[in-house]
Amino acid sequence: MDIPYTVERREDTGLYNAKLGVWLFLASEVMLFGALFSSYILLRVGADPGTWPRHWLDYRLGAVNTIILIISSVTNVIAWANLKLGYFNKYRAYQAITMLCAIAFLSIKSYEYYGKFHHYTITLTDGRIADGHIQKDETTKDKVVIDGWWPASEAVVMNPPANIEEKKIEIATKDIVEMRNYGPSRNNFAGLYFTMTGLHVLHIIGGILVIFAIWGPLNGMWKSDPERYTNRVEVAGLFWSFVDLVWLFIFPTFYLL
Amino acid sequence: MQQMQQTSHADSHGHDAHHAPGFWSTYFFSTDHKMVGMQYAITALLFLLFGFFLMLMMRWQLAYPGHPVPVVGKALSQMLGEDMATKEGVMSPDLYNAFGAMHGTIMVFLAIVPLLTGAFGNYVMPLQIGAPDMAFPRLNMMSYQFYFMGGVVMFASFFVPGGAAKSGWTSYSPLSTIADPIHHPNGQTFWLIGMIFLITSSMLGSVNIITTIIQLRAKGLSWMRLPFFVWAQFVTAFLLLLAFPPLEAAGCLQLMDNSFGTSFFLPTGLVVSGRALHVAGGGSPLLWQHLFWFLAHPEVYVLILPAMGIVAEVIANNTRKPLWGYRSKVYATMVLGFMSFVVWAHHMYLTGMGTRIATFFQTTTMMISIPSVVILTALLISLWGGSIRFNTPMLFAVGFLPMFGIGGLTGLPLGFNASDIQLHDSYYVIGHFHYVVAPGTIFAIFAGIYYWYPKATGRFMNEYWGKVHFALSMLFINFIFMPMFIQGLAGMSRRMYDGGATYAEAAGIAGLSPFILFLNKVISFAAFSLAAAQIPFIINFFWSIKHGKKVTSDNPWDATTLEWQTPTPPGHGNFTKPIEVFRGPYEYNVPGHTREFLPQNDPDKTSPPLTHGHPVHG
Amino acid sequence: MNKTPEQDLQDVKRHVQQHIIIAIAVAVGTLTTLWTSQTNFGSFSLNVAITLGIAAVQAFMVAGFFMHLLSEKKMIYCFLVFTAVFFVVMIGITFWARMPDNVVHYQ
Repeated sequence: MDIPYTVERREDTGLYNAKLGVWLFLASEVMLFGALFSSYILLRVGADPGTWPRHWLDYRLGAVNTIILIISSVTNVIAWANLKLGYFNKYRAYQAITMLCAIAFLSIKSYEYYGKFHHYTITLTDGRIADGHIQKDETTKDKVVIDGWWPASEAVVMNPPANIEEKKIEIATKDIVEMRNYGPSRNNFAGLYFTMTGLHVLHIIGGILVIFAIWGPLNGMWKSDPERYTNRVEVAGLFWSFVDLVWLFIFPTFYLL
Repeated sequence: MQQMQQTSHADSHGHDAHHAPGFWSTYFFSTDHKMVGMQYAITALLFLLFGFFLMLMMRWQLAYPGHPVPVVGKALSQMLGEDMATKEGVMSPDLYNAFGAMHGTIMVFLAIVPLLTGAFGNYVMPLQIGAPDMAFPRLNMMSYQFYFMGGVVMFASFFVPGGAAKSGWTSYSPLSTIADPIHHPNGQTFWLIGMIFLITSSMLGSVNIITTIIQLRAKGLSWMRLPFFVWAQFVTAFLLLLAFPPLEAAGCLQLMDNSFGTSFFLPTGLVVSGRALHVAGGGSPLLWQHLFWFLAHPEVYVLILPAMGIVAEVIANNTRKPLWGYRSKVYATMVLGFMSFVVWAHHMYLTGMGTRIATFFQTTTMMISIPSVVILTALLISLWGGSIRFNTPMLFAVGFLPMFGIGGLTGLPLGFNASDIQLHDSYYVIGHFHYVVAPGTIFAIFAGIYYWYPKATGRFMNEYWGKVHFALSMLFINFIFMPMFIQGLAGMSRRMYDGGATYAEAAGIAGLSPFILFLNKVISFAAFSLAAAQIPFIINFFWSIKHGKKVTSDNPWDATTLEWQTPTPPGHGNFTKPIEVFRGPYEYNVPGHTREFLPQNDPDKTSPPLTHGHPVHG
Repeated sequence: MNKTPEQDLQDVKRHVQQHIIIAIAVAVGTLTTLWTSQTNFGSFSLNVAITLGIAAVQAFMVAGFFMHLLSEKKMIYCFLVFTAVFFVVMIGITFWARMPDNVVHYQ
């Protein structure tokens, strides 16, 4: 039994089924990320003055990641264009670049996440605040060693200056009131940062797995049904461009504003 | 299409010769939309029964607070632990709340929506558009499997330490985060995970439904020739597609609040049991409400639109005349779908939002009643001048009309900000929404089951017991929900574990009179009677599979829509010959036509199709 | 219409060139936002509007060209544009309807 318009396009819509399906799915994804963006806006606008952090993220890493995703998006489309004209090997080459870009993105992201989980704000018993990255090999039961600085107040922690001179600070454990890292439970900015970029990362991983599956194990379909195979590549590419699109909004929202 | 059908014919022979699918492929891993529809139907009907059962236990508690629950009380204690029900079988307040939250969740997400879209949508819609299957059969199978897993997770949540989620089906923060601080993960966590599965299932399903309707319509089946049922499914699928993701986002955020110490919905300075909650704070409980109701309002239109679609089909068929106002109904449905996205905060009038925003939502809420009324009125007028056949499906379909009317009209005082101050969170609200869903949607579902049963099984359900089922259900269901309006107007709050007994002695307007409290017993008695009235239906449903009166043709109701042009039951690929549509969906007794009814794919040149926009009557 | 292999190749090259130009435009957009976010335009809201406006233009280019939305039938992308506009309007309404700060909230 053949389902019509799986490969050929229906005249009045100009689409084949999977293309319509993926656009509908992307519409729902717009609503998903849109809801999260709306939550960000509502929480940020409703936050008491001075409680919403700024400049907690390294915009240079973010910008590099943005460029990487743009490159991956364009190589993905070029890969599809080549496939449409039958140049299978060129498709494979460009798509490989797409996947390498994705891996680069994920590496930078992991580095950022790691940094956040090892970055602590320590409140001492005498009221001072220390802030920096924990040095695991030197930290013992009795003392915590960080590479950081002494912000004057909580407000400064929220909005740190651009150039901070970091030096080694040793703090005795008995002097510590609390240690908070920059993970999701730190505050709503951190929570939303991890939630939204985390969800985005899941989409990157999902997208790249699908692209890889089509590029690798499932590429036998190129021989048996090339048009259907090309359609699969196109549909996966639409998803991939969408993932890039979402990041184009995440980057300014979290890293710049 | 010609070529496609020839291929399918050849294929089906080849298919069978190569491998007869085994038990698991046929019944659990089927990609055939009819089998998926049946899977949804059976699972959802079981959940409907289970949700009903939860309500029966709650109704016992409301009528006889503090008394051991008969029959199942001791079992509850043994299965769920003594903190949930005492050894004698008395329900604890926590268990009552858990039943309440899960009754709502199960009825909405595990019973009604899967029945309307998963069962009826999957089974009937491709047949009505002349398609061989859904656009994405494997996605269809997966959407059922996600639904099933979500159901398992929700059911399992009763048995985790601390019990099932007990913060209402609305799961408001901060209560849902702090309700059970001892256990991690707890019932609420399971609820959130279950919801994520169910939402995924719904979204896969709606992509499938929309693509199928747009792409797989048979030749000649233009948009304005679609049966109203298909239009209803189309708009419903869009509502599900676009409205569910914000709840998925909110669910993730609440999951993080519950399990990872974030405070998206927890305000600063929250004190629980005398101690400050150790979270960063800065969150907004209102944000949860906005995100939740952004879904949950369109959700209620998801609950009613396919039901109206079913009622429309049954009424057209049993009045033997075209539906009145087909175009108006289609446009009204589209307007309803769009407007359903801009009314959500009428559930939040009492949150202290400013007058500007309240006025905005009040205005849109009043406006949205218009398309609903258009549809209901068109269905009512469709009865005028008809040769009405009062068989069981028709009884339920006609019964739907006044019941939905009552439900809709009682929504008006709730939609007005001022009167809602008195009525919010009272039993009036429970009466209102149950009228639309219970004698509303569920009656429509019964109509659909009795109507399409002969197509799926080749036999009729028993007419006599069908009529008994209808009469008793109609009687008792009104005795359940009508008194609730009285209770609500008297000030009785919802979600009270003891049915308001605490307020019996209160003085002045805070008190609930003995009559109001007596109504609890009336309602509960009616509920138990309603349960008894379903027994003939359940027996009828299963008995008729093997012993029901056999149909004498593929089109036993003499219907015009395409699902009756298939063999009974339809085989793989559905249609045995290519389908081309020549006329609209309801050409019954059209003046000038040679025959009493003309199926959509009948080219009879002596009976030209009704032209659009020029209906014969009014 | 049947094209010769040379014409096909030319088509591909043009297509690829167009995509690379769009990619560079989007990247330039990103670099521009790095600048606009640091510069003071008066109010912070204006800053947000400009930065997100540039992001929206980038999104339009990705959607229009990489996802070839602009080559689809009009109905298709009209629907998506409508969704985007609708979303912006909803956010706008939410802001317009916020409670004024001088209202006392009773606890």
